[in-house]
Amino acid sequence: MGGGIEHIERQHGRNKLTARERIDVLIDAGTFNELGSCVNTTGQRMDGKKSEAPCDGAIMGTAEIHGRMVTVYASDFTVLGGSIGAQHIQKTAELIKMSAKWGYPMIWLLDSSGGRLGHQDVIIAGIDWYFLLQSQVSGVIPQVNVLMGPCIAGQAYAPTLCDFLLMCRETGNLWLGGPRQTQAATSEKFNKEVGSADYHMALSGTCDVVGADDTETILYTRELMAYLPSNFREKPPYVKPKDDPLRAVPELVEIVPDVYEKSYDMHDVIEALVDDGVYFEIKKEYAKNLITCFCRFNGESVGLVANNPSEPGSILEINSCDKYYRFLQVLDAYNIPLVNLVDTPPVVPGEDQEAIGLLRHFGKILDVYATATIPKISVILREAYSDAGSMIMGGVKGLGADLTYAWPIARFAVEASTQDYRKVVEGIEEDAYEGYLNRSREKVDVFDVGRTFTAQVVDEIINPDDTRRKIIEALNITRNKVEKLPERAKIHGTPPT
Amino acid sequence: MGQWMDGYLAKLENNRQESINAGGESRLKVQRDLGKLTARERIDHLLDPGSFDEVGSLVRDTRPPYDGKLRPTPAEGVVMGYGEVDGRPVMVFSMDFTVMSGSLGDQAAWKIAELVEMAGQRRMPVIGIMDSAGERLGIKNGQTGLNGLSRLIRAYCLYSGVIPRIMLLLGPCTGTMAALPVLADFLIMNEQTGFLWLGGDIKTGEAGRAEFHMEKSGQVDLIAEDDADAIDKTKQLLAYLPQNCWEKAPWVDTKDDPDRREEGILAVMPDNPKFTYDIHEIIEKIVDNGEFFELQPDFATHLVTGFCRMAGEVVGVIANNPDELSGIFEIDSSDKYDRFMNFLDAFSIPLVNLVDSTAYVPGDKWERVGIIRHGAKNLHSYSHLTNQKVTIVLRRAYGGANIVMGCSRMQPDNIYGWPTAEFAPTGPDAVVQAVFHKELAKAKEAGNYQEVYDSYLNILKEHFSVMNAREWTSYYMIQEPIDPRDTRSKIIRTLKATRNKKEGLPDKKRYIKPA
Repeated sequence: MGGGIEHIERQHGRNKLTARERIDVLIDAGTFNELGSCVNTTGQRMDGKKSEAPCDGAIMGTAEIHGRMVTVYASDFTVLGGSIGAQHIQKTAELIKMSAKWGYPMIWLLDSSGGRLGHQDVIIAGIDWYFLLQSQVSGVIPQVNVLMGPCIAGQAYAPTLCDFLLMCRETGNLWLGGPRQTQAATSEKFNKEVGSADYHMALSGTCDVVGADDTETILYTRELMAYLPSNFREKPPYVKPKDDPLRAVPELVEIVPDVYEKSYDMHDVIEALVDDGVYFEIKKEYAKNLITCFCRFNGESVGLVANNPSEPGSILEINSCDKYYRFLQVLDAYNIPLVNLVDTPPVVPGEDQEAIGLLRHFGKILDVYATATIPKISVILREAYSDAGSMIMGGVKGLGADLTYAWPIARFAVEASTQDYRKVVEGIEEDAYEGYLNRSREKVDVFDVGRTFTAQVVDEIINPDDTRRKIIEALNITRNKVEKLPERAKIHGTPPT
Repeated sequence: MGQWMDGYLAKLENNRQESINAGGESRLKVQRDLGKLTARERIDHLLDPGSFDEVGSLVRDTRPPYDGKLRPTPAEGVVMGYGEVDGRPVMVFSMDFTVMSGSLGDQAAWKIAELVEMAGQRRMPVIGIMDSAGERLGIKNGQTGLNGLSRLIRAYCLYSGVIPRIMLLLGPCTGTMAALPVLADFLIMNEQTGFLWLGGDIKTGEAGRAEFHMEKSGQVDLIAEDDADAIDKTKQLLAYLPQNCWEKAPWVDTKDDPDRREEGILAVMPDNPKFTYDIHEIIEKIVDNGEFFELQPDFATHLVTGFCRMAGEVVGVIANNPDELSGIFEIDSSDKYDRFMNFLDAFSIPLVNLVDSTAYVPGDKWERVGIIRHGAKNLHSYSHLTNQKVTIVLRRAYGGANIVMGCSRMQPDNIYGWPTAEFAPTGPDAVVQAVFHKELAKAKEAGNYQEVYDSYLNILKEHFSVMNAREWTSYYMIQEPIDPRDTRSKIIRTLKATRNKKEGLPDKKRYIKPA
């Protein structure tokens, strides 16, 4: 009964499901194995007021999704606003540890007012304990957070430290400082739009998937889990496809114009290529010039990253770099192959982006791409310019791409930039551009770069109709790829931030 | 010696002469008129006399130029090899602006890529000196330029966290190649000639200059007034760095008493917690001989980062600076913090955190740019540190700042507090408003608001004081309160006590860090 009928009705009145109802939507029926259901609170308010708190507001246990084991934690908003008491903390922390030890993904169904402020309790740790544990098991097991309530201050880090954050449009709000707190600290007033699901999707880039209500958001989570392995030692699950691996895709030449200046929506290309036209997009409304999604090729889970020429700008913008950076880390951590569809417009961002660190964000991806040992397959559709982002999309093999294919209309250059630096830098030779600096800017036809292997730009020029078949073949070829990187003392290097 | 050898020796001498002549007399003059040293002079300044062993001096650009005009290309515009700095081996490359405006050619890209690989395999620092108007890389007719550049960038990334990588920007650096200086662990830029740009539109006169990348983009660590200054700073920096991630940074006999008690430290912090002070004053009193080598001094100035020595050992200091924006955290200071703490850990240099911060700033402006994920990034990084780490809480340890600076459960090796330290989820004023808003509303009606407010505030301030942290397991935990005057000796003793500690992390392939 959680916090009692009155609170349950209030929860329903806000069009929210209760914690247990949410768990039921998430998991395969009848698979919930609850842990710690007899726990209650050990605390009381500073002014002596005592309260009841079944499960101390944290319902948790193991369960199955698509027949695969996961662990689930759901905060119960009907119990003291889902706030975190001492037992609540310990339960969640132990669940993180158990999940990592056993190698199961952990799913958070979060709806909590945060720390139980103004209460005295058996103190063992603060919420910082979550953060330490979540970080330490980052890359060991997938951590997925579904936010269907407020999430304020310190607690706001918990969803952000998960690999994926799904937010419910109707009920989810994520703030570093909630409206009341912010007003107390800075006198700023804002409404609920700030910190909402759409806000964190479109603006802050913190949210990965938005669902309309609790049920839809949770069902998206089930969908997402199908693409992820249980832990870093495993490969992602295979699903027997209905689609034909040899299927030709003649529609692609209709979708992609052979006039470079004309744009098209890359979503159409993706839909035509992947198994049954089904893909699961991540950060759909953020940095839309770069698409990141999960999909299947002949039943294998794949992470697909593609330019979208129908959106303005280059992929090398700071936000698209961050989007790619997060996604690529997930792929490499969990052994999911990367497929790039490349079509970079000849655009390089200017001073606005340089002023806030464009190069270091570019550097972040260079670092992850170069050190990712998953299969990296790349198909160049039309244009690939290194300084516009093709270098981090497998547009040249030297950075570590396994197989790079190109369509017959593809063209390449080292630089898309047309800046003449003689105006800003002293001492450049007068005839530098005529003599040698334009060499990097020369747009070169795919047949010119393809006829040598010393250039290492493309492995093979392919018929667009064969693109699906060639990607599946490439994934088969690289399936058992082993790549050893230079040893280092620590798990991490020193990449830019 | 047979006569036949003479011809070959003459050829060798000729090659040497071409190297010295570089891009020709007029180009050398242009270089000097700009106040710049030449590529070889820079190497001479950096390395111990006579220690330079060049490789690749015979390489030339063999491709016909677009305009048919032949230009000299000794060493393909990049002078490089092995040498020593203060007796310690390094690999170094120096782009020659007198050769085709220092542009990066196909062979040059391959040369540098191999130099980076050599440095990585030999486990020694790699120092690059950039002075290049752009790229002249090819992909046509089998040309290997882009292939070489990507190989160079990849090698540079693969040895991240293996060897220290330092870059000096003593001229321009543009195009995809401009990613290299920001991938470097440290970037030193000449304020007169340095220019860093990927390739987009330029609107202002400051764009791409040293100050622009120091204050705005946050990509520069040190600004130098001229080439010699940049090279001197490089040598100073190298003294704080180990050769690679398996070695210790060099110990130096600093002759400063490890137990030195610093009376003056009490005068720095004002009595009223709302007043500020300059954290530099505290740092200088704690470290050996007051010598603090600050990095990024003009970026996110509310967080101070730098190297120093304590009892002769190299230590990295990260400190909130209450003098700037009350020592808050926001996205720039998060990025600054993140980069430096990861460097320290990668090279096993101890981290000392000095905490006095009112935490992350809330509000629409900050939420919009992802302040939460920036804080999360720091938590994520700190949780992966296995180097020695000591936290000293001086005064305010509020909210997220408290946690990211290595308090409590984030597991620093030791956490000490001055008696003035205050742990709170957020400022005590804000907690009163949040928890007791009903009571306050009632008090407002009853007309005794101030009285009720003050009484709650006093209860909370007492509750948050470090001197009240009487439970070892407490969230707001310190392991020991210390006399501020003993801060130096406490840190030094802790570093001694933790010298051989080992800390493990779960096995994983790679972690997933917030962006």
